Amino acid sequence: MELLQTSLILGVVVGIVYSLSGAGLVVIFRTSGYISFTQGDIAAVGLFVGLAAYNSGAGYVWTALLVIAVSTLVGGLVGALITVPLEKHGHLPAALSTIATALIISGLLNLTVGGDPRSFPEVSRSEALSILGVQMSWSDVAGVLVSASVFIGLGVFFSRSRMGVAMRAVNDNKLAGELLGVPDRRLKLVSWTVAGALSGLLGLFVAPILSLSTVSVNTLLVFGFCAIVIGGFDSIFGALVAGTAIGVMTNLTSTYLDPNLVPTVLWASMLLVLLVRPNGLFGRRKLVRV
Amino acid sequence: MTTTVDRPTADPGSAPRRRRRLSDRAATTTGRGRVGARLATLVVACLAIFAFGQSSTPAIKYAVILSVVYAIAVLGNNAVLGLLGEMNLSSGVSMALGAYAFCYFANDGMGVVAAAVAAVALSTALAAIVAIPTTRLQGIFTALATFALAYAIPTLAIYMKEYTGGDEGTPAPFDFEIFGQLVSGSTTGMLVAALVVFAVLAAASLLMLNAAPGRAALMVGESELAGVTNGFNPRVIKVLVWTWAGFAGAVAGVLYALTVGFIGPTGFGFMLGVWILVGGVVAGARSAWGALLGGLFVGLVPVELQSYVPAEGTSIVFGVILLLALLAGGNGLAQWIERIGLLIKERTFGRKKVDA
Amino acid sequence: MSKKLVGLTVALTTLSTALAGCGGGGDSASGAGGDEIVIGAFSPLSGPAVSASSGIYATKAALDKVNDAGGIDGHKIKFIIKDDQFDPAKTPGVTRELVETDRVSMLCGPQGSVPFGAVKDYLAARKIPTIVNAGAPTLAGEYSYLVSSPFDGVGAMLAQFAVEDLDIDKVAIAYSDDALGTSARDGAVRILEADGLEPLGEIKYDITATDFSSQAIQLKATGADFVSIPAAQANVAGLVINAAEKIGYKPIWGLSYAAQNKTLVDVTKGAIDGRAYFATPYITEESETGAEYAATLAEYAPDVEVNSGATIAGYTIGELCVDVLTKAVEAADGEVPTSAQIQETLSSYTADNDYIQGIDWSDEPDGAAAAQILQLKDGKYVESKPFAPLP
Repeated sequence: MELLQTSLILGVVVGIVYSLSGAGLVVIFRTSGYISFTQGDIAAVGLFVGLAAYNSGAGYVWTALLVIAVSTLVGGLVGALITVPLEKHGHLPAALSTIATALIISGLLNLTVGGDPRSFPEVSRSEALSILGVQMSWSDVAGVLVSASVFIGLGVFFSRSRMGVAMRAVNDNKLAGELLGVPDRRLKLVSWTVAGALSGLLGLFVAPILSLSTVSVNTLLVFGFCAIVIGGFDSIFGALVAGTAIGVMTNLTSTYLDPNLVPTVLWASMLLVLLVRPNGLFGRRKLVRV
Repeated sequence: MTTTVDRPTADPGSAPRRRRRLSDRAATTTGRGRVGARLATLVVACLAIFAFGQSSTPAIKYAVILSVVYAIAVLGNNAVLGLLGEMNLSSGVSMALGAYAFCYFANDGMGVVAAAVAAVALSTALAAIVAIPTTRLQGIFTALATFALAYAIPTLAIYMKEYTGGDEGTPAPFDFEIFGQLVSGSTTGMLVAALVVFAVLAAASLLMLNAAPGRAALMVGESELAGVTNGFNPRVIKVLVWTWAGFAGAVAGVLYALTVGFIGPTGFGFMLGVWILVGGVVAGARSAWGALLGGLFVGLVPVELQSYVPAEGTSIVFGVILLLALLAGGNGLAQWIERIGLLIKERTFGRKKVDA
Repeated sequence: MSKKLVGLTVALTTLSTALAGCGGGGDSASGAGGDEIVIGAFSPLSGPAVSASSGIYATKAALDKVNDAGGIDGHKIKFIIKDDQFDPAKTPGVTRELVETDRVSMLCGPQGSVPFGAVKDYLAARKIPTIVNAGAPTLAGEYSYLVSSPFDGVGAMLAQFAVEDLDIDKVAIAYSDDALGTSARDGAVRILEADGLEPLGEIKYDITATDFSSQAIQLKATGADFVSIPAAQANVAGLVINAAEKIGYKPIWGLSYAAQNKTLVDVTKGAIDGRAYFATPYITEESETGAEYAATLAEYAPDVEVNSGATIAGYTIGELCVDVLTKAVEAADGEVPTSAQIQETLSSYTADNDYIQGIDWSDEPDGAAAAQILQLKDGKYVESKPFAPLP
């Protein structure tokens, strides 16, 4: 019983991180209709710049802000200069260009910082509270709080603000955004910039746990994909619920079945959800093309 | 308008010629039509690869053989990409299935040919089964579902270590001979075997593309509704296309096992599927002989590049090449080569006729 | 045939001849030409496994040092490293390049069990001997010699240390379902059973996972005071340990040189200081020979972490290669030795020196049969139990 109980609590903690990695993908998907494979690499650039600052004496808060600022910038640049212009050839080339960007960034990182994993600073490892024997550090608490506010903020943004509503509309119909007074292209750039910021934020929670290497944030990407597919592409709330569910499910699979089956179970449940509810558990709209 | 000024239009031959030019252009973009010329190009491309492989060092020859093997997987994946317009990231999965099944049957005492046939049959059947739910998805969902599957393969292989040899992998037959030629590693027999299999499959896909199945698949890919109104069942067509891709992937997997002589889970990471997709995009998804270029991009370029670029940075070059291919319209190198061929033809052949 | 086709044919043939020219250009220079001894290795210099490559730079440092001191009997060593990205499909290609184009006479420290598994038979067929930098016992063969201790022995030694030296009888095992993980587990079980004990739990993990809380919960449930997890690399060991400590489970950890590096200390933020033991056949920076090793590394590979098990392993293999080549040059009367001569030296080679103990390839091409146990104390690896034969 304790086994199950602890599995559930820890599943929720890690699942929230999965949700966060899904959130950035949802933002891009909403305006552009494809997914980005390069968010992990964008985060890595921000994290390495942040680490350099930290090592030369910057405090944690400045480091964190710098990480987010750099990721925002890189995300915006990738969107503005590479991916969004390529949309004129269709969604598939645009999606593929994110793979190209990922290859280029990871190559550059390999050449400059190398492949060794490094430790990355975190908010604080000291214990904040204890839930049923699980010690939650201040970093965990910060992660949950920040994620929660990001999810609430995005939810409000998409449903209340003019730009947010336009962002939802633009993927369905190019004209819709312009009717709302926001040009299509600008919306897309905003979404890339926001997604960049979100991946930097995600990195701040992932890097202290997995240690920072050129691939560490990327390893979470597949969980982010699953979270948004299962949760539904247009639902930020869905990503949150699905991410948490995935965290719990992987834990239970690992405990009661076999750790080597986790990715397979992940794939199978993704396929199953898509067959039963093609738009995800919380999605509403019908989506087509890549 | 300028053309009418430049050229006297009274020439009675010009209208058919222009129509011909138009059909040439259409042929290069759809990959359909001009079957004879395309088959001949395919044979010439295979011969050129053979000549190149034979005249190279054993290391390059090995990379060329592996490239032809990848080309077979690219060819299969191109059907999904070029006809249905879907992003399939699981070609590496079909290769893994074919390779593992082949090694399992061969190590179990089956003859090499029988093992290959059984492995391809089993993998194709599995591909068809997985295709049934997968084809219910579209666009982004297809890409993500196939990505998740590809991601699961290495750990699944470890889980099934009774059949796969786990992390240590499993040896493949390395003493297989056809007509006295050793088919393994960097032997000429292996090169010929891979090229012949590629040529047969490429020719088959070319012929199918130009017959009813190709028309049906193209139509369903462009618009499901158009397919339905023309009396096709889009689901059946899609499952068939995905099964074909699975079949080609499994064939590539068997040849991969023979070439490498050993298979292990780290060889089938999700990047393999990405590379095969990228190979198709760079070379052109609707060109049969272009799949060879895609294969070379995946198999030969990384090895050769190391002589010019520090190994740590090779992925930059790959990324840039992919970006350039996308910037060029995503139609692929093969189409550009064909267009240049057309241009040369128009300039030389076309002019002469006018002058006469 | 249309004109277009002719054009294409010409273009393709030109292209292929041009490419063939590129490919063929390299094979004029061969090892036999000069005084150089040409040897090689493959390693993941790029790709997802790039962090495993530190060992090869240390191997190179050991060889560079000898070259700067004039080489072996006047022969410089040319060490060619090829990148295989840890992909067993690429390994045969780069290995063929090494053997057939670069004409290496031996491989010194190629990395990775799976990549080496892909070329073991090929190298044996070409009679090219290899000193392998990998732990799987199945890699040993007529032409392949292992240096690192077999993990069965490493697992056994840790279990013995827990029971006899630390006086702990509640032992659990965490393992990955692969060759190293399962042999380490079997070794530990063997020793425990000999002492009339049994492990309180054998918990499996997947090395590619990002979350190890399930393993942590199961380990905690065993109530063991000592957890043996020797086959884990530093990043994986660190994640398992962090997950366990997070739920308040703080046992003594039994690890090996595979996890002995800065990454582990960094990832665990020093939480396991004093509570982590490492079985290793290699020396430490703190030992007498270690000072010389550290100085060499500082000069020839300053970017590589000194106090890492993988680096020391790579360096030791470099030293072994030098020793073997020195003996082979002697056997060849001062000439550059052939592969056959190097193989002959290897097949009768034994080592019990400052760097490694218990190598006897005249008997079996297995790794070192002796190891020591280190303790992580104040961020340093200090000797806890001196070198002894593996149980």
